Amino acid sequence: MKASTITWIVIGIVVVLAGFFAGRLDLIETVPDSPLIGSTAPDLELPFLESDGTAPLYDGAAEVTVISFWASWCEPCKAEHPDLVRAAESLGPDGVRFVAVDSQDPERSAIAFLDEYGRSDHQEVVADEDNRASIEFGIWGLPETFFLDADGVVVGKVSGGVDFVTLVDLVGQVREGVEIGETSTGDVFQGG
Amino acid sequence: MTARRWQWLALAGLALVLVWGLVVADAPADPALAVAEAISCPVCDGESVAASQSEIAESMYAQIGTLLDAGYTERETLEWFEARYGPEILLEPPLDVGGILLWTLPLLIAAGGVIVILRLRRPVAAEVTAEPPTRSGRSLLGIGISAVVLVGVAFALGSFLEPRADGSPITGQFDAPTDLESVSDETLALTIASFEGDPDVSPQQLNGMRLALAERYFEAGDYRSATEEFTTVLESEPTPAQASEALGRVGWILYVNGESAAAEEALGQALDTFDGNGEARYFLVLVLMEQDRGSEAVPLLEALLDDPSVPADLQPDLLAMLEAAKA
Repeated sequence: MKASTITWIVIGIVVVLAGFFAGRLDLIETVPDSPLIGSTAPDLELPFLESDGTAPLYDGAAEVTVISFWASWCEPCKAEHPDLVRAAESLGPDGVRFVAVDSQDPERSAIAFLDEYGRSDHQEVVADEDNRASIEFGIWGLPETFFLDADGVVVGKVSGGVDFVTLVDLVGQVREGVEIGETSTGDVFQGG
Repeated sequence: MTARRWQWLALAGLALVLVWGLVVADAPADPALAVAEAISCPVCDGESVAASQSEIAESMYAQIGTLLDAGYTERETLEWFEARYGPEILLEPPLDVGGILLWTLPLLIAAGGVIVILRLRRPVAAEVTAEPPTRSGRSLLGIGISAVVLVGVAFALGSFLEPRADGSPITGQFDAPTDLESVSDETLALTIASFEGDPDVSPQQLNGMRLALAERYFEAGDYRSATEEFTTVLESEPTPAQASEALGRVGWILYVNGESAAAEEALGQALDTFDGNGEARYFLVLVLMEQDRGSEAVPLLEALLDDPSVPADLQPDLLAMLEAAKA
């Protein structure tokens, strides 16, 4: 083999490898993909934020379960919460269960947040004591919202705030059996 | 044994001591600490769970202890977290093909560079008499162009071959709907219902959404649902244009259902409410023509022909209808 041929082969290999890594650079995401998509949701029961008793994150009865992780210090949560309440009012009576998991948040701050941004009789607000749910669901920041189908399988996730229209649209897709996957609607907030 | 061999043995021994010092002696004796140092705090920048003072890191540390107490090995504990957060939670992710290449790439680039320099230097020394100067210039240009092309191809290939974590059967990312035009009828109906009673949304704004939904029903031939929405609009403080649009469409639905007299009345009201409703005027022309009342349709047709908002492709039909009406 001629020396110039070897030179070309070496150059080609180096360039291809450099390109391979350059192609990977733009795939770095703010929030990594959740390995939970396609798996059964963690079996957890958390205490209500404002009353006695506990609630399971998946109760086996709802056609679709929407689990939203939030906190009072999370700015996108303030914009998202009224839409979650409206969606709960609209879809709650129709077989869709809304569970709001207050995470890494003092109880008093969380209740003040609900006083300001609203509540729904169709939304169960629970406290993530010891951050069990945040760890089991692999939360990287807030807000993050998970969609469970009737079998309790995680079929979708939204990182960042989610609005009413998106919520209704995604719930409709879950009802139709679509594994909606995940998306990011903006930055998530990271607390302590 | 020669002196050179002793030197090599001494170097090898030194390397072993260094490796032992870096890998073995630095490893923490506490298994929980070892795992906590291998997991990143999800809400911190590059800090391990062991180093972070955050609340979530403390909870994760406690979870590590719980798992180890339950009989998990250090490797299984790491995998437990990886199964929930993905491989990004590990500060030292397991090496995949890309990872191996990442470590070897600098060496390959260096080796490639040395070879290229040696290859390029040799002809330069000999070219004084053997090669015309333009030849090496063309070669370098060819190398450059080829490199750009190869980088482009490899860039696309690299993106395509991006590995996904095991157990993550994501079929694709979805796009969140950005406006009401892209959502289903059901979603639009629920959106309208959710705004009812909202003090920040005026009745006229709600009517705009209802008319959009009613138009969908109307175009699809679902006249029952369309009529319900139009009726609600008429009962909800509509603007003159909104009321006229609803009355005009209701008039047409009545006509389609054989209620010609009621249709004529509704269409007349639509025009009384808002004279610029060309659609209602056109519907009324069709109702009158069907009843052989051409003379009454003539002024309406002339008004339509003078209306700049009427689509141009409708003009020939209107002219033909005008001739028929006059006859």
